[in-house]
Amino acid sequence: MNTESPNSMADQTQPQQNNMDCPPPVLVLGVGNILLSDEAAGIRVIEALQKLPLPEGVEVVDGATRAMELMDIIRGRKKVIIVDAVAAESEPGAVFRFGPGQLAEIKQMSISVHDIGVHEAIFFLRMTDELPEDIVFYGIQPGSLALHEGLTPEVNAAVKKVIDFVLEDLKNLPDS
Amino acid sequence: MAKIVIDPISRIEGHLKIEVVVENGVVKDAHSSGTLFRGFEIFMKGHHPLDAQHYTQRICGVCPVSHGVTSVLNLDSALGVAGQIPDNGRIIRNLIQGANYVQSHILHFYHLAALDYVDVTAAADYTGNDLGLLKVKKFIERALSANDLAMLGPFWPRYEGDYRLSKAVNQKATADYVKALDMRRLAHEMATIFFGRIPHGPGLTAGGVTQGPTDLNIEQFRTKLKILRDFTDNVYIPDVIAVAEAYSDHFDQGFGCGKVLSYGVFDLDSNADLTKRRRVLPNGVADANLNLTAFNPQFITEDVKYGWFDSSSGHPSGTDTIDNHNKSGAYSWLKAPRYNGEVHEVGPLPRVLVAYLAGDPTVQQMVNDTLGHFGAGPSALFSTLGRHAARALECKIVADAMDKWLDELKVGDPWNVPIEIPDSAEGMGLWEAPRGALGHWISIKNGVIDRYQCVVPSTWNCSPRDDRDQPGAIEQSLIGAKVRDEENPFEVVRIVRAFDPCLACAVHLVRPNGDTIGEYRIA
Repeated sequence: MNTESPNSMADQTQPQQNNMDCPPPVLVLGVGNILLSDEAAGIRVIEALQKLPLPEGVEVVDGATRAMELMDIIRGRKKVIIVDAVAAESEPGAVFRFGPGQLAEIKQMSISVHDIGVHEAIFFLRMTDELPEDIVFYGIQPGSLALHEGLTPEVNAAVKKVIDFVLEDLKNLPDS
Repeated sequence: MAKIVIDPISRIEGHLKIEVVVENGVVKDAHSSGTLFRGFEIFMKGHHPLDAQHYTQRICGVCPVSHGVTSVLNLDSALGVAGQIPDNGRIIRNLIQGANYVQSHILHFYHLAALDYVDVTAAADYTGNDLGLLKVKKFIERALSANDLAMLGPFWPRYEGDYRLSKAVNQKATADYVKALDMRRLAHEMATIFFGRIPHGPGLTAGGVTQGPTDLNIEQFRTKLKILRDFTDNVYIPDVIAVAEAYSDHFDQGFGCGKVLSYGVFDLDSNADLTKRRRVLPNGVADANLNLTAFNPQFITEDVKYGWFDSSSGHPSGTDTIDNHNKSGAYSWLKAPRYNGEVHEVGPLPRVLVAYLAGDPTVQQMVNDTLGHFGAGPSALFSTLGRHAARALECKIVADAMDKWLDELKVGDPWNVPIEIPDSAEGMGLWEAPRGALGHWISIKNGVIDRYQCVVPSTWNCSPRDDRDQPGAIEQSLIGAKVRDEENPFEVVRIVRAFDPCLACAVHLVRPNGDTIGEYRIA
């Protein structure tokens, strides 16, 4: 790459017509597959938050099962809260709060546009040095991943807890 | 605290399982199984015909555009407006699809395939001032100083034993890998200008498109396209050639079934008969002896002997989808599409070869120049490297064509025609997704969908054996492949990945006695 080129990436690829130059500083992102019962936990949290009045500067996004696009949704934020189902080998409905450093190793890391998700998006943003400093995960241990919509009672209760945790986090935003 | 994994259960799952039997370092047998039942054809029955393009876009988050266009072509023909699509509508469909091709091809080479050939750890010794590369260098250093290779994510683990590029080329390719992340985003943004959203946009409709050209959207599109053309010409194609120079023996690997099929893509007119439409990449059937024959959609059949279906085999306009997971002898959720009873490969290699044999001078010169560099002719396209080369050249063909199409848009002219839903009708849509030939068939009764069939590219390439027990295209490309080290079967991975299968994929290596050697995620 010729770094002296006047057409360098930095000044050429700035999106012109959307708000990606300056997205709302706080992102709450839920991911999951609503067709696999408790796998939808993160999405159900998002759906509840979308109905509530939230402080200015907060964007709530249903990340579904998206992959590479998650990079574009996360980059450029000051604070990011990600809600997802996690396989933590605990009892169904267990809730975890952790940072990106604690994402466990996935030995069999794959790259496929069909099944990369949060983990790979974080990896790429770390690689390009665009990972927001303040990023926190809420993880909910699923009880069932059966092929139908609807949560088990334990996970439904956990979803309500996480909604409260997120609302609490959003109350304590630093003045931006 | 317990070890936590961002749940891989639903999103990291093989939709395609390739089981390879290795004996004395040679692949003796291969079975490709689709492990996911979709059932789109079943639940679309009884729905409004115009909903078909919105449902079928959801077959795939990677190539929704292709399903959308194929579905509106299908509806055009069923609604009797296939011959009336205004130029603006035809061109904007091409632009939306073209943007998706460029995105898909760049993503495939850099983020799915390149790491099989490029040693990113060379970035650790980088001493220059490329910002992207310096970031990768820091990223690798952090992982090494923490003594935690898992931090290297998709770069690790990997198969060892065959990284051949020089340090300088490895470093350049790694810098381009980072740049390509921005390029795929830019291509997506370009698609949204006329498509409205990626994936699953509202920009298409039977009879044309939902948004017309304006001076502003044409200019926005052109600005992004200019950057992508520059990247394709000066980065993507040279990188593919650099890889090919170091791995030139891969022109002799992954030959495949030796027969290819293209439905043609990117309309140049609105002939009511899809098979007679002039297309930038024309339809046709070709083989490794460079024979070209005319394409006849009546010759397409789907076999179900080894699929978990109780449906009958036959032409997609007359077959159903009836699932039966207990069917004995079956091993896949994919049917086995065949053309004239024979196995055919679909994708960029078939499209480029058919255009070459049909006499397209631009394509001929590109292919001759690129392959001539390696002392090879067009038949070398039938290989692992040939597939990558065809994909890169096609990216340029499409990107260059888009620039011309922008000049042909006429602000103020119509971009669709009014449509009415008939009480009963039959339709056919034939088009090409980035991964290959895509066909949709519809039959409408009482104003609603009575039958809808989709025959998709990865079903062609990843198909199981057919009613005559002929292995599918990828199965054939693997049988006979040499595997130097069963612990690091990079040969198998490279062959499969060059097809760009549109399914997450797991490869299982087994010995003839059934011992599993290993399981390798390849996508």
